[in-house]
Amino acid sequence: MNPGRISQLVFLVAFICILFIASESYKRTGKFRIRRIPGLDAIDELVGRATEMGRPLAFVFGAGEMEAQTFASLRILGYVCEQVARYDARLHTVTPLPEIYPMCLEIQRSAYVKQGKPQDFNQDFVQYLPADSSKASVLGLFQREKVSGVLLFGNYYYESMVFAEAASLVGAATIAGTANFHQLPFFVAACDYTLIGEELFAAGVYMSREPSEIGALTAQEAAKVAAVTLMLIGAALASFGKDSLVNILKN
Amino acid sequence: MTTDVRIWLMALMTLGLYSYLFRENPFFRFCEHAYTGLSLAHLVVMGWTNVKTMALTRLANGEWATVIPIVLGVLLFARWFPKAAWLSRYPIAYLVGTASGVTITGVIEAGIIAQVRAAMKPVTNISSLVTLLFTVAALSVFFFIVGNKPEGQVGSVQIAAWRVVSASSYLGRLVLMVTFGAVFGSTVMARLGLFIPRLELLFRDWIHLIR
Amino acid sequence: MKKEGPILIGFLTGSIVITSYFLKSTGLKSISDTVVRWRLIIAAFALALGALNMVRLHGKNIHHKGRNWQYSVVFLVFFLPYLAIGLIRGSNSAQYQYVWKSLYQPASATMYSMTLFYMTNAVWRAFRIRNLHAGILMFTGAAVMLGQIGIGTAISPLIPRFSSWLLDTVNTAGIRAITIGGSLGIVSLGLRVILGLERSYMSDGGN
Repeated sequence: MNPGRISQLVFLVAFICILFIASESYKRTGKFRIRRIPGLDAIDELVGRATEMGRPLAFVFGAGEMEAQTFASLRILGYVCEQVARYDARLHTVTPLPEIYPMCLEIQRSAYVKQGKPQDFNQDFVQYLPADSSKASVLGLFQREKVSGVLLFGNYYYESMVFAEAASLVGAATIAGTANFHQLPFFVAACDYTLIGEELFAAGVYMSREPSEIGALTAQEAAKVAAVTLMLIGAALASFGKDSLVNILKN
Repeated sequence: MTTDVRIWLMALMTLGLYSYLFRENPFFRFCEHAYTGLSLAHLVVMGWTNVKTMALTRLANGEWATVIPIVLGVLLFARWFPKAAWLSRYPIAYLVGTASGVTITGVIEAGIIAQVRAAMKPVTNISSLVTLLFTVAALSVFFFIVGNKPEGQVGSVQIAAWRVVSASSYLGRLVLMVTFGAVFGSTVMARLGLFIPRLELLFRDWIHLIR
Repeated sequence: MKKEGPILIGFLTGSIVITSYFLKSTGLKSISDTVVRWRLIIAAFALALGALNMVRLHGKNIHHKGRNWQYSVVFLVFFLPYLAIGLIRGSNSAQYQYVWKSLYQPASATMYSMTLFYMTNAVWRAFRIRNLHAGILMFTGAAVMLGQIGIGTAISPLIPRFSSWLLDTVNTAGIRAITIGGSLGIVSLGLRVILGLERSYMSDGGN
């Protein structure tokens, strides 16, 4: 065992256990409630607006490395595509990550198939753009296509401000989400709705109620309760000169 | 005005892209497409270098296992053939599985355990108490299940829990806004530093308006 | 094989990386490093797929004389020669570096610096919205900016002190909470991918 990683392993094992227990419990009882996430509720509104105005939407992924935020965003893309296919809106999907380009294509195609409109799927609406120059290309896309709504999700860096504000300037409604705290201020200041940090990861549960996702969210919730409890107890102990809890977490 | 072609190219590219700030126009469109072409070419060159050094050279040196990622990479193109399209899921699963493993191991200590540990500071003054309580409040913004508004016949404990979480989460949202403001302010100052070299290129190096 | 195979691949690759992180084994570490390195090779093929799609799109646009087809020509005129120089002469050649420094670098720097304009605009808009949250965000932003420049001190020596107090206390708390929440989300989704519970990347709607 690598030194200093016991507490991390304990955390991971406990997390997996809670995930499975909560998932099974939901399958048995069917009971689950989650608080509202306004940013996700607004997606339907955005698609409806696009259909009414006859102008397209744009879904743009962040240019940071592919990781869990990207997967969470793919999940949201799936939902958006289904709504777009259902209401005959148009959606430009832009990814600066070549690795997820094939996934975006498949997600968009299967959304149209699911809605019984495979003939409406147009792969030209899914574009890979090189990360660096995508900033300029996306700005061009916003104005040329006169987008009515923009969804900015994933691992965002400085382009967050540029895209969010440029979208507002063409009159597009904007929904954004990232877990990168250094970009959140710009999304919050410039977008109509922002999924802050962990809200991005709760999107899957919010949209589907899939048991394993509910299990995972329950595990996240348990971890936060544990974190709050540990912080308060740890700080109280440290105030009396006892570092035992801090030391346990160093193992 | 300079006669150096390179400075001219630099200045024109800069002006072309800045012209978007006025509105989308042919000059911007030209620069945008030129930039996209160069950007893509650069990435392909880098990608090819990766394949050459990490796969082909190793393969030539007898590392036969390297054939696995090459085959997986080729399978990505299976999506062009509808009957074999499912094969492209294999490389995608590889990329997704590896990325998940790498990110989990990257955040589990730095993003969770170390953060909890760092919050366990002795409360010696108002500031340390504020930091601790505000951390808890801000964390409660991300409660999705705990402390939801009770429905129907519920006990007083649930009502109390809802009230505590609601109040904490309200305070937490204010804490987050202060945090965002602080990050915003710091970043604006940093970005000013990036804008100045662009002005120097245009007004000093290109048209020699400033020296 | 259509679903189970990819799920197994995802499980194996993710598990190898995680297990090697916890276990002290040089053999396992070396396997894990190889698994991670191979990702770059596959990603290069994904890039080729994306690049071919871009060339196809622009080619199609030129062929059909579509909207703004002239700019598709511009794209190819810059893409093909630069690619040729890079592949034949290498990215360290003088020609490649000339284009890099004259066009690519200034373009990147310009896009980066454009954030300042948009930030200014966002600040202006946020001030006009005038709700409590936007107000707090802007007030704090202004305090931190003033705290970092001489004018702030000239107005009142309390401003830099207040600014650094905000950064040390409230900002630390907020960033810590966002980091913990986001990291939990990352762990949660990552584990679901590795355990084969998250399959949206196979586009079957997550089921």
